[in-house]
Amino acid sequence: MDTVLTKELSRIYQNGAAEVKAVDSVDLTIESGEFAVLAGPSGSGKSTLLNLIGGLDRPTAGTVHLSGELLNEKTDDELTRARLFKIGFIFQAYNLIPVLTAYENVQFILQIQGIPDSQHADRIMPLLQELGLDGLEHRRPSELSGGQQQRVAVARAIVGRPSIILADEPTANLDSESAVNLLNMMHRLNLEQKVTFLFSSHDQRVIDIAQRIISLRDGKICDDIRKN
Amino acid sequence: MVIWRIAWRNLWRNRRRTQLTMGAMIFACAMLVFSLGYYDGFLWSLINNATEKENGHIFLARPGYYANPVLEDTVSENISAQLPTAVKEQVKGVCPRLQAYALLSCGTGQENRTQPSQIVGVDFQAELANSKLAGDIVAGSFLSGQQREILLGQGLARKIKAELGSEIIFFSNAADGSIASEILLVKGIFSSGDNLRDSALAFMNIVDAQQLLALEGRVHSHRLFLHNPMQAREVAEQINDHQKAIEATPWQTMFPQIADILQIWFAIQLFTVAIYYAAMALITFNTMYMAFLERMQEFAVMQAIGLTRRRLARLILLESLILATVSGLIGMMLGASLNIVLFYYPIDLSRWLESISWGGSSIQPVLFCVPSLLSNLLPLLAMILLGFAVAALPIWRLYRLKPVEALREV
Repeated sequence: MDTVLTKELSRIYQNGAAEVKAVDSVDLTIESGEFAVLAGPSGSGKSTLLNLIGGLDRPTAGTVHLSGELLNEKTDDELTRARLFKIGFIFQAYNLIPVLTAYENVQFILQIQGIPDSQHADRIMPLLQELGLDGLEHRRPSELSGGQQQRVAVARAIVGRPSIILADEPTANLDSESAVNLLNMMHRLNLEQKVTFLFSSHDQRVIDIAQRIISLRDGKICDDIRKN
Repeated sequence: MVIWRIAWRNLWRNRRRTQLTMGAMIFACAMLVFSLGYYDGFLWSLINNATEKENGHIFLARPGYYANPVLEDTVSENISAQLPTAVKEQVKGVCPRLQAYALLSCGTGQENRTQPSQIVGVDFQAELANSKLAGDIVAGSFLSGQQREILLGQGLARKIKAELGSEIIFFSNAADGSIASEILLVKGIFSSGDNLRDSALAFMNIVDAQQLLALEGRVHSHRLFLHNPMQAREVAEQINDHQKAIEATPWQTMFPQIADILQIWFAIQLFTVAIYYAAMALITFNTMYMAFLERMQEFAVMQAIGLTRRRLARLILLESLILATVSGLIGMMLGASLNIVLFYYPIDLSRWLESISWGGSSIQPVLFCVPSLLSNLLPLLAMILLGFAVAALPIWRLYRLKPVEALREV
């Protein structure tokens, strides 16, 4: 089943009188269970395409379908709800809520999804253990290392059981060891729990581990390689 | 619940800033409660000084007497029968008065000093029970019902060089046309704070005055003291509708300047609140807006992961309301405590300030407050409104925030 389907997707920015085509007529399909990366140099349109797929930005032209639903026609609030239930975000700068503990940051998604409190611990604790965060659940982000924060961000992205995880340069702020650990964990989640991942990255370690490499240049897909 | 948790913890993220802002808000609210309590105390004193000492809340006399007092225009000593039943329930007490003008002299020969004065005959027991005349005695004691007692105003005593126990020669015209004269003994000297009044006023027992003025069983007026002075106008109307032989004049008519102040009192209170809180709004707004600007990216992230703008707006509003309500409550309690202390233990400032006569009453140099529900709740409610107001701009900015643009700056 297609998780993401884009057709003729374009995003044009006005830079004074000049038009900048950040994403240019992109046709892309991401299927359920894929572990794919949008690769390319800075300015190639990776993050813009990820934002369009995630409903954070609106396309200038073309369409985005997420789990069969057309995102273009949704209002801002409907897009927010779509992000809450269908998409998990992992950001380069972790972006945890600083006043909440690791556990509460993950719980936050369940709370705004309206999942009963009685189910929270059963869903959160195994995930934190899986990501090597047991014992750190009561720490606030400022008390965690970058790698630990990013793992909490992964837990937050996964806990709501979304259709896809969109990760924008997730390893960019991590040291080498933390980056490898994080990638291995995400890969394991993909293999064991069939979580769909779509990264944007120019980190070779991400490209090496990905099953599918979608290369972008000047807003267009220039290559799409699936590894066996 | 999670929104409450985030709101509360956010407030303490920048602990020093929140403490300073709360401190300023608590101080403003406490000072405002105190100021309104002081204004109420000031007004209360103004009304009390005008009514409870001499005039009462309602002046009852023959029609026309209040505007043009004439010695012969008297009413019966027993007024109770002439009052409607509904009015009697509202009356705390009645003080009959007889008043005339007389020459008062003290001393003999070249030492003789004479002053034209207003003489008021009073029932000492009724006055002790209802009015605060006795509280003005600064030397000697109040009337005791003994024959030939007289109380002199401090200024009058000074003018005629009378002291306690001095003999005062009373000289006037009686109602039957005869000459009224008597030798009275100074029983006490009073000071009401109104120097003009005290230099031309004397009190004596009403029975003595009735005999001297040939008005036995008659009085010129009755002063009604009500349970609620603010009802004086309505009670006076009931009396006037019921009884044409007497005319009731409420204190609002006797002291129009004080009544005028009452009319605009609520507006003055609101104006005071507005002045206090205008500065407060800027301080609070600064805190809230800075906190919002610092967290723009955080709000963008929360929107990105699924928190709707409405819930984010609720978060901002909650932070502002918690700040305002907690500060308002603490400030209100501090201000109210100060008002209660100054209600029971007013501070006498007469060593530094003198009393001022105004509008038929006097303003005493006393720091006195009256705690009232309105003066406590108005600043608190205004503080909560302030909480809504300072959250408005951040919320407006939030609705214009594009998460993708804010996230790009991360």
